[in-house]
Amino acid sequence: MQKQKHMQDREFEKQVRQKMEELKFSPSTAVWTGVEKEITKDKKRRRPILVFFLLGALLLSGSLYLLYPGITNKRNLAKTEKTNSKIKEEKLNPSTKDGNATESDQQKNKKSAATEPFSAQHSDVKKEKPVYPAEKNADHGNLFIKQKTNKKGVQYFVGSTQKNNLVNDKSAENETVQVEPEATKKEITARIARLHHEKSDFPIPDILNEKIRENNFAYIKTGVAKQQNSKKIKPWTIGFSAGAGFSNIYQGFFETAKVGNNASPSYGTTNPGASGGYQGPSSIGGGFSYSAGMLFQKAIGRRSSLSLGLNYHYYSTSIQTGAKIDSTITLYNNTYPLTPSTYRGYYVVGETNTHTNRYHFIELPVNLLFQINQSKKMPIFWEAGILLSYMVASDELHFNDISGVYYNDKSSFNKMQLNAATGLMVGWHFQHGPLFQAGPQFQYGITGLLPNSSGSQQHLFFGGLKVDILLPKKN
Amino acid sequence: MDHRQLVKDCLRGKTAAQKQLYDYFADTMLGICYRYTKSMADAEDVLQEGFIKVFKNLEQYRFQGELGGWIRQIMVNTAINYLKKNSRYQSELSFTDSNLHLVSDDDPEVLMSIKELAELIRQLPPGYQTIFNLHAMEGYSHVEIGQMIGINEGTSRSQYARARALLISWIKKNSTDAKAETYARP
Repeated sequence: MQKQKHMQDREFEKQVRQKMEELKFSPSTAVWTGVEKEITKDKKRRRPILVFFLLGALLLSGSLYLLYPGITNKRNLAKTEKTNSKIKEEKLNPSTKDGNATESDQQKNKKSAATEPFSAQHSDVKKEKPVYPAEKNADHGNLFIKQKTNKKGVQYFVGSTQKNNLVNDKSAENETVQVEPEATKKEITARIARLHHEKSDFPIPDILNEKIRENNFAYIKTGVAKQQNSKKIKPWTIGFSAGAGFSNIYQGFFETAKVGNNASPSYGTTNPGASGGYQGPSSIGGGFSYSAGMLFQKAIGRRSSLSLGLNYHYYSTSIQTGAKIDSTITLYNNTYPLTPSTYRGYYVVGETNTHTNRYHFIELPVNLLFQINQSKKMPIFWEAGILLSYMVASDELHFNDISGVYYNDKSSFNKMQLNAATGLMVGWHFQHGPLFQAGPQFQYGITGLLPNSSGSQQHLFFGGLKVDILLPKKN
Repeated sequence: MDHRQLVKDCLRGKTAAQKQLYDYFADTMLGICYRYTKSMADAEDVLQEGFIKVFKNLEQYRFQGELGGWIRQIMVNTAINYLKKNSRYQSELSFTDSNLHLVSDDDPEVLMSIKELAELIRQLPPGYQTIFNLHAMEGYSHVEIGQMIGINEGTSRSQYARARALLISWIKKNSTDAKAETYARP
């Protein structure tokens, strides 16, 4: 009889269920609009990832750009040397140049440059105009020569291709004519003469006598040598960086943290994990950490270097939990307004299971290295800098103290992190080989791992050994 | 319909695929949301919130079981949370014995239309309505229902019995009225 009653009960439920399965309504268009708006907002939140990678790309391209002028500068220097040697050759064998200038012409010009008025030489000078790197690019070949005096009272000349008479010192210095004294004498004389002819307001220096000019040319020559030396840029050195050590999460200043509590204390559902008497949350223990990536280093002073990089960094920590429950749970997070969230799979409180929280980051380290000893063979550097990092993934468990469970919520992180780093690096420079730098390094998260609204402070810490390998420069 | 490909496209952020998935399930899911709420506006709110969760958590769907079942579970959970959150439903979730009239051993045959039956379920007091939906429609045990809405198993069991009895009485009454109306016609 009771069995028959039970079957009858089931029959009623079955009938109701069958009918209700067919219950359908068409929702208004506003529903999809709302859904679409919300999921698009989620896409926008992912933009920081793109920005981060764009920043990385910019950093790399910036490094390449800084490397590139070194190549062009070398080319320019080679070109200048070629031009100088050409001029030298012309001086030794004037007949080879355009077939116009003769030795007598040159002697005539030389004599004129020293004794005759400048204006009278204009037409002749044009014929034996040497090739100047600065003049080559000028619109009309109007090279303005300006007489300048340095701090030591030595006078010298600088040329500019500017069309007005105001000479930009910086550009002028860059375009200092690089010629042998003999050729320079002629050229400067010729230029001044021409300028006098073309620009009547150009102040012709009366002091331009032979002795002063000799000094000036000597200065120019020395200046060129100096300039050539200064143009030897210090290129970026490319290398690889790796590190391994210990990572942990601290709150405040190296205070052991507990699992982040995202529950609202005033609103909750059930507490399946609290029944065992252990209330949690668990303290966080340390774990293994490692990093690997690329490195770009450049000397910025006699004893200092700038180092940029792009790294992958893995951190891990451990917590104690109870058993894993493989079902769905609805929790209220500590946000206003209170919003319920459903999570698939959670851990109850307990100490039977050790869960490893894993964190995967992409980092952009910017470090300054200061050499603290004098040794060239084994330099010791103090390294300090910052790391901008982006969390790519994490399975860290959060704690909900109302329901007494640990759960994973990927959205509950500050994905963009700023870390401070410091360490010591000892270098070993092998002849014709790479430069090894290794030493202890410490890193601490300036920004919290969890948002402020969570009420939990979590800062990532890394301590370990870092090794940099800087590849030798190709000559 | 190849749900696997559709899910993959949704995960790639293709709006067309997301719209297609929504269109495919929205009508059925609104029917479910409707049974848990007291108005169509509330049902649509639950549907919207539920679909947002579906798209945000789609990567958690492991292609084990029907996609429709997974979405349905999210909708039900969303509806429960909506009822808890909403003060209108919260005040009536205290499971009082008001509005209880009779308990019948004689279960009727459900001859009424789908919408009429849905309306009767929705006329149950919110607490009864929720438990009836969770047990009779979704097949949750009373232990699970207790955990979901924060009551003990015994309360869930007794409330369900009362909800069921109330619904049966209304179905019977509705059936008698319909017959009387038929006979009254010339």
